Amino acid sequence: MNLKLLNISIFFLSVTLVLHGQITDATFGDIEGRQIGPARMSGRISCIDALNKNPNILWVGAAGGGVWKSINQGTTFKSVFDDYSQSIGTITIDQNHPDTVWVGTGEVWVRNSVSIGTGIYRTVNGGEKWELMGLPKSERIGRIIIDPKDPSIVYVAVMGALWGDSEERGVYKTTDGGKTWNKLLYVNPSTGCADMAIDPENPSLLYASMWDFRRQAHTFRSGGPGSGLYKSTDGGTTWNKIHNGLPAGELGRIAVAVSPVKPHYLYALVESAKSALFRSTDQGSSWEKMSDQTMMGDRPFYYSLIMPDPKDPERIYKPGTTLWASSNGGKIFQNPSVTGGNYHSDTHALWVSPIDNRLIYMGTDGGVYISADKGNTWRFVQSLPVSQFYHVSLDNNNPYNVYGGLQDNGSWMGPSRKPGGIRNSDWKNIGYGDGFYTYGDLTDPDITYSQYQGGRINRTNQRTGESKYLKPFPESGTASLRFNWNTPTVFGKKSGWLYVGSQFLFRSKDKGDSFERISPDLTTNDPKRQNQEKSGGLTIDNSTAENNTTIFTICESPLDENIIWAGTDDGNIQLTTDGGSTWSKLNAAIPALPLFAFISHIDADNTNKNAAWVTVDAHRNGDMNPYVYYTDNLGKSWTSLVNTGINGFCHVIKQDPVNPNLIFLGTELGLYVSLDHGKVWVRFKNKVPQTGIYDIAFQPKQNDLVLATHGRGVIIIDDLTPVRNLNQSVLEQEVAFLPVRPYYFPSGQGGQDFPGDAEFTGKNQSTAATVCYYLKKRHVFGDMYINIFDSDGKFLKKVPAGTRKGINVVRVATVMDPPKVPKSPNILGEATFGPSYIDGTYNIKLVKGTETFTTNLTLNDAPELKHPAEERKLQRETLMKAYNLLEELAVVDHQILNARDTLKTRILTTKGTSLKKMQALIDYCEIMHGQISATQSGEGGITGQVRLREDIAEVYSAVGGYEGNPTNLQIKALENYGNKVKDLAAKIDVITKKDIPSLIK
Amino acid sequence: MKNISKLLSVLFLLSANLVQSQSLDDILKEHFSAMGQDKLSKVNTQRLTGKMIQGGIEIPFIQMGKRPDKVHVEGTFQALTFVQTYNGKEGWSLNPFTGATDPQPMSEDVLKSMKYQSDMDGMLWNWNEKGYSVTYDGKEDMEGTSCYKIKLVTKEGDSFTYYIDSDSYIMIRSNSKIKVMGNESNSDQYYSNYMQVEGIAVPGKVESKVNGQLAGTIVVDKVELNTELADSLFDKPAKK
Repeated sequence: MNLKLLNISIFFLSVTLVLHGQITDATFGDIEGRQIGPARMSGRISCIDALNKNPNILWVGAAGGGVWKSINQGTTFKSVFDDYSQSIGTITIDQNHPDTVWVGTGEVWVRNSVSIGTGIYRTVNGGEKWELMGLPKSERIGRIIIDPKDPSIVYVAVMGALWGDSEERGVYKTTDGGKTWNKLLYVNPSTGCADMAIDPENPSLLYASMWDFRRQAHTFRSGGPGSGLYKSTDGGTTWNKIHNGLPAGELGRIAVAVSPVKPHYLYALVESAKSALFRSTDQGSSWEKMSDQTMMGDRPFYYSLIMPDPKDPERIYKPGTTLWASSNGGKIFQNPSVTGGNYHSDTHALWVSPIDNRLIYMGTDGGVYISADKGNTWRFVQSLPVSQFYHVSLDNNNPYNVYGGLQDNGSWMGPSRKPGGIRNSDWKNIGYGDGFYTYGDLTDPDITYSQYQGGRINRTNQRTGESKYLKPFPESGTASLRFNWNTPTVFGKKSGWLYVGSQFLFRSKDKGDSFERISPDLTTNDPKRQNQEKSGGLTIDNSTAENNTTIFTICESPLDENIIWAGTDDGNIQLTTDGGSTWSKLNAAIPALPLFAFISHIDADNTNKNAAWVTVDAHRNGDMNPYVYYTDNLGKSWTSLVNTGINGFCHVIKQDPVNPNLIFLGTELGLYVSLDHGKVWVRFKNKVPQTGIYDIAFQPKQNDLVLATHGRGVIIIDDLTPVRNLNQSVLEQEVAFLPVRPYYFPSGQGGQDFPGDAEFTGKNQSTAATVCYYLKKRHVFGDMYINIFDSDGKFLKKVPAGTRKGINVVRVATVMDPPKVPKSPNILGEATFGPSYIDGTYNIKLVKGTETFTTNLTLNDAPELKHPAEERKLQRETLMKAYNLLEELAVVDHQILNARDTLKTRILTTKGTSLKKMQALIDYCEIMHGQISATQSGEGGITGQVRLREDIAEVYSAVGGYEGNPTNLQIKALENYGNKVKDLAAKIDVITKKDIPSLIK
Repeated sequence: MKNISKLLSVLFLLSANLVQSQSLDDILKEHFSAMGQDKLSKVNTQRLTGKMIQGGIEIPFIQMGKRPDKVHVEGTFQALTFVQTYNGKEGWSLNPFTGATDPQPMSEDVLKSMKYQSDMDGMLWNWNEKGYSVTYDGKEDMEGTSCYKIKLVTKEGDSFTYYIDSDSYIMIRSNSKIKVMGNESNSDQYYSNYMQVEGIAVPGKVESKVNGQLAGTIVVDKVELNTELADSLFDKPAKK
């Protein structure tokens, strides 16, 4: 290489570095996620802990939605763990130091869609700040026990990796508050610690259950030679198996618990060929079978918890598909809900108050419930927006609706905004089961589509409630159809046709009334991956969740309906360019494509029909790395787009429909953005937690980005326009204006409803007009503000400017100053705002120190609120008449009060007839003021006084609230009030110009 | 041997503390220098005029302060004037917007907040003598700006976290957690548009946020120092 070339390379290298250096998560500034929930159905709760002495303080861990703290028994919750993995395995409060709380990440209810953790964390200040205390590769943690006598001693049950072998699992202990950890009990790389218990009276006495288990994409195994129950009498240094009385043969998952009231009572819920509950009354030396009722073997991978009551030694709880309770030490279990029980099934977390054992907190697949009567009746906690969406879609209504399917919570639709905020009751259930792909028909507002487990699809008329079942069936001579748990059900971006994938691709041109098969088997069709009927290990579990060798993602090119990409859950990427007549498998050309991984998403490029974006998710093979690929030649060659900026295995990639260089990527640990066609990625952190981003949708009219998160509900990023316009030129400037979407005046809507504080309400986007600009650096010193001018250059107002680094979105109140009003002891509520600016283009001058930057702000009337021009004109004239009349009246009133005060001063030094005249004038001024304003103070009461200013303000407010014609009587009233003002003005004119000068010479 | 390791651990702890207090002192020293604390210490009275902006409504205000601990705030809208006064011991508020014409005495919680607010030097200055505990909480990226986090806790258990720009040592954000009626009120203030007034850095704009949402903005138009302010301004306001 010659020197000249070297110089050129260095130049490009430095340019690239500069580019990379300029984009950070702070670049996005005020652009942030708007979490709209819903909390209507909430989401899967994995663990709960509460303060024994004060059950008002409870901590909830969600399967994919982080840690939530309530200090008021669940009326309100605060999310306190947004910056870390949102998959929570366990939460343990240090009961002697309630601000110290340990969180083990990685849920242990290991269903197919379970997420991963990133270690053990601790707060010492009630959740304000967290510290990673270690075990970063633990992947899932099921129990943390703090030594009741020494809080620096902590035991951790690390379940470990689900999808592969791992060494970081077993029982861990710290004796220095988490600085160092020792692995005390380890069996083998496929066996983790499922549960642990401590004797509260003798903390050296520990029990631990080890679980041999493994999940793969196509199967699950619970049980193996590694499973067993152990005891230590020396604080975990040595362990011995305690199986005397437990079933012989292979064991599965075991839950273990010590009775808090009788610590020598020990319970073990043991999965085996015949799962049962056992009790030991001699600290584990021997076991007695208490119950082998059916529910003892209820899906141990999903529910493995046994909870002795903290007051009553004979009462035992066993969460499962429903909650079970025993009142005789575990011999017989029955449903504790005698008169109630209307809670979501699948119970995972339970906490019973030791000061009042009637109080129970329970976590389910559908949120938290509270019982005040020992599990009989339950109150749903409506304030936990931890819903787990698989997919999201949008319609084109205004406001648009959001559609999506959720883990065990069916399919729902809800508005993207609503006056007063998006309430739980605004969400409508439109499909059942585990919900996945869900749509509103873009041409028929009555029709919705919802897909649930394993290819089941309903097309529902929401007006009549009638559903048509659209799942494809095999024709004669065709193999049985295999559908993924999360069956791709996709509308063509170009054609609008409906595509559904089994191992074959089906296409419907009539909304599902008829389907044609347009592909051969696109999967590996590997029979080893088709033994779902044997899945589960000791407890068979075949719910279609382990279905494999199926199509998982489908994408029709938005430019050519004959180009269809399909990805399978066993690693194939397939392409047809002739509408399905012929297919090509593209795997061979993809560099380092992991074998048998889910092709999690394919997004056909919006501008180049030969191009596509692909994410691959290999986590079910134990590979948590991100895989992202791009091709621009129909899959002949591929580029990996992964660099160090991406964390988490990948679910979805989507190219922005407006700016082809802007790419969004959803991983298990958050949202990533690239501004340069996938070269550099940066995490979008602003109110988008590290939760699984499963799907992404764009709303073309509002320019919004909508995320389906698997744990934090739907998150909307309002108005992408500024982000779409971020480019190198912008990033290099100190100050650069960025465009925003067209602004439309909002319609004024309010309501009267007082739902209390216990319900989560999704916030609306602001309805204010915005001025947007990029700042290279935070503005700290010197003045910075915005001046607004009308189209004639007339100055209107000065407003504060945003000063943060990155994108600033400054909300501007586009209203005139409120009218000046006559004086009164009472506020005039109807005149607190000035009239709105009219539609048109305004000039914006951003002043930063000595520099001025200029742009325009255009305000538009909302099309749906647009009244005829002549009506708008009359409304505006009438409104301004009322406005001016209030101001005129304020001037008249001011003159009256001035005259009165002048006379009051002079009267002190006046005698004789002048005094009487002065007094009469003072009295007259008071009368006039009394005709203008309410003069009686409303101290503690409602005076109800209505005078001229109140009359005019009522008309002002009424006319201002409706942009069409005012009523005839509103117009006439203003004439009437106008005459009164004139009359008063004439009277005070006489007083000030004639009467007073004649008295005061 | 045991004693030696004990001694070493004590030494380690001591040095760790030393490092921390050294950092805290250094940061505060630079911060006070950047803010013009030496000049501020010589100021006896201050009078700020500007506007409060909330939900599109602008309210002109005047805020006056006088050493050692007096505060007077007033804001006018529709010719009605809201007044809050604090004379170092007692405080009143007169809020005609609610129809009140009599000044109402402040509750203990509000008096506590007024006491904090009346400290013209800022609570960090001489925090030790004031009985506060202050710790350096590490460096943190605050909206893309590297900041030192300083946490101050009062005897009442109220806490204030200050974010000091690590380049300029100017305060750009504070978070307060104050107990009111037994519950915690949590809010953030973001400071910008600093102006130099007789060598003192004064923020020309303060944004208040509650739960991350903008609750209001204060814009300071004018700052007057050492003007004559009668003590009566800080006493019980007259009935309206």
